[in-house]
Amino acid sequence: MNRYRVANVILSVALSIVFGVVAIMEFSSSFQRALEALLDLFGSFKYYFCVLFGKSVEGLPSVTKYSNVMQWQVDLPATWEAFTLKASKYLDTYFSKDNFLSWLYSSGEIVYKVAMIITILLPCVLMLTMVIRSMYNQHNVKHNQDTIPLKVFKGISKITYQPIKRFVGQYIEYVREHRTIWIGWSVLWAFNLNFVSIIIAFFAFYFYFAVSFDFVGIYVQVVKLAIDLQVLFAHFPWWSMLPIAWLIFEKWRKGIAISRLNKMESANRGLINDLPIVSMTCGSMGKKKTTIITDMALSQEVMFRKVALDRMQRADMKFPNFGWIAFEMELRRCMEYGTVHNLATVKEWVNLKRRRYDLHQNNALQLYGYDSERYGLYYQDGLKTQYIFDVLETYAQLYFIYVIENSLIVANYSIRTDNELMDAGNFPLWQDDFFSDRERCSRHSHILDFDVLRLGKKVIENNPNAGSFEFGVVAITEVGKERGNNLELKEVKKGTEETNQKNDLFNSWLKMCRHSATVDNYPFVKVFTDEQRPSSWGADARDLCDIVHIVSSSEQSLALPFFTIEDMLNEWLFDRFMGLYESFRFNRGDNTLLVHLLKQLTAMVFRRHVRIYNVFGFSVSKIEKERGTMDGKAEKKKYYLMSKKIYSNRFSTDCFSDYFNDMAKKTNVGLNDYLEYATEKASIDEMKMQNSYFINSLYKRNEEETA
Amino acid sequence: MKTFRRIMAVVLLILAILVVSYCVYTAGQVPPSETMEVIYESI
Repeated sequence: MNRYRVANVILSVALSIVFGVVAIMEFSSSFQRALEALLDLFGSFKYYFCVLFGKSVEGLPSVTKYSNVMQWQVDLPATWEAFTLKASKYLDTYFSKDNFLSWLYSSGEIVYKVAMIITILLPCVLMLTMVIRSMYNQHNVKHNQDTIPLKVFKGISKITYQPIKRFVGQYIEYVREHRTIWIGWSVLWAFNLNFVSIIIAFFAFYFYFAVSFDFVGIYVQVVKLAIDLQVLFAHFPWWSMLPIAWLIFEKWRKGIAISRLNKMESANRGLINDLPIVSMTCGSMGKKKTTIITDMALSQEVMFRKVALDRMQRADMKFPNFGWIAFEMELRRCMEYGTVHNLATVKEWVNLKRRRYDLHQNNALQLYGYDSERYGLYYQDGLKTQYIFDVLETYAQLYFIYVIENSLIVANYSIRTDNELMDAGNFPLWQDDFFSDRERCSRHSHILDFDVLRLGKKVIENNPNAGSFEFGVVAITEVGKERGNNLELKEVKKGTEETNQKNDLFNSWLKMCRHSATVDNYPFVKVFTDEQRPSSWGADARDLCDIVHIVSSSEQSLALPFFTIEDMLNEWLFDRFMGLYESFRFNRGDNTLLVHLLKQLTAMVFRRHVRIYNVFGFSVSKIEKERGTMDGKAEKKKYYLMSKKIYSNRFSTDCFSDYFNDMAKKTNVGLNDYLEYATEKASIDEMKMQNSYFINSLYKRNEEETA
Repeated sequence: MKTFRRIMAVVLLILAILVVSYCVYTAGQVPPSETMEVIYESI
């Protein structure tokens, strides 16, 4: 990169000189116009204060008049009256039959010219296609060898296109890193293209309009705006502005897409809020049930933090003169030192402060200088009277939940989260937008030790984690396989020494989990589970849930508007290229120039297409929600799965695959090694090789009868 | 549905081009403010 440093400096100086010379030679009138706009602003300012304080004014300010600097090249009437007259003429012409026929005739001429060009080009394209096809049908096995035209192309590209591309890329980075350069150039071109004049003129008219309410004068400003913008159109051809127009269009439609995705996320959160503390998502294999509970867990984690923040703000209002920042900083120090590590120790810490305060009444030490005599120690909300330390206890617990940097999700599979705590040394804020472009650091869900959810016997005696779970989002996939149902647990006895599903009191925890998680009357706990059938989980636990049945899942749609044409072009290009490429790969082993170029183009379009679908794609799952008792009417709902949120490496769909990998690694056999049937009909030996209960029982019976 | 959406997108694109072209053409046919009569190209 260092070898470019001198070139970068030289180029920057050269470009600055060129821009300066261009500004003097070509855009001097723009600077005069900026000066004129400043004088207009001064005049409007004077007019504004004169009218405001009732002083006499001499005529109207100069902002109401046309510029003396800019030449009039715009085909717009000078006055509002003339404009209405011209608009009326335009409308008459617009709806006239003669004008329409005239337009048809002139359009027909253009269509005729285009058809002529197509007629000439079509045979050439067809001939070229036939030649290429016949060339590419010639068989060879020159594996990965470049043809001579491709070698020449790569050689030329290596000494021309590649160095230029590398240099331009690094130069853009260089300019980005050096703020003075790009800010200086931006300001210069803002003056050149009259953008500065337009902004100043806007404020000049704003001050005049604020006291005059001259609505007719707005037309003059519109004409002045058009005259100011004519600099842009006079110096640059219209087509050179197409890339900028495209960028603006892209930004606009991406904004719409993000807004749509956020609305879908809000709808999902509404549905999650309607669920009870425990829910069970059911669906057959591949219906995306683990995807949905993962999505719900991610949303719930964000919602818990938002609720904590919202409730902290309410607590703040109860004692608005309290030094909350000092209280928060001391709590964070306690968290760092390990004095405080869960909600119980948070409460203990506040209680200690309360006892010390009640004993010594020291405002400076325990209440961070809060003037208790002036602002009071009690808050009456119309229902009850709260002591300041009661509010501090609630606030501290909420702050603890809010500020914990690791994931709030505890699961029996890994879920990736990328929420980021932004901390400038004061009150931290969470960056928890699922659709942001910025890459953020990843964290993963906590490993679920089921002993922490057992109130009775534990799998590990004296497990240090037991009893530690207070709040969070619990996600359990395949819950039926873990907990079993009444039929499967028929032989399991409650009174045995060994821990089992009947004596671990897991269900009691499910029924009582909200008690440990409730802060400010809100339960900061939610349990999401999934299974293929509701009846796979015992009725005692299942009755607590709402069951979410996944009925169907739609195909992927796109939140980005106006993408259909690009979608069609991509599909057409991809299919066309693949048609050619497939036969080319079959016939030839070498690399040719045409295929190389077509592949680059197709890959570029394809990669953009994939990215657009990954960022703005979504699918809709139709779900039916019913009570866990399964005796009510199911409610039909929709759940949105947004690709950017749920498919960006959030979880592994084959989360238990390592178990099967481990088994497979220990064997020396694969699919290739399985014997095949010799004919269309299985022989007796082949049937016996199935190790089937049915076949074995048939032959066993035969053997017994023979014996 | 997908095919219908694609057909609609192409039809709307063509329509948009035609409407814009007609608006621009008509604007070209309206003479400057001081001239009153409308001059059409030869049909």
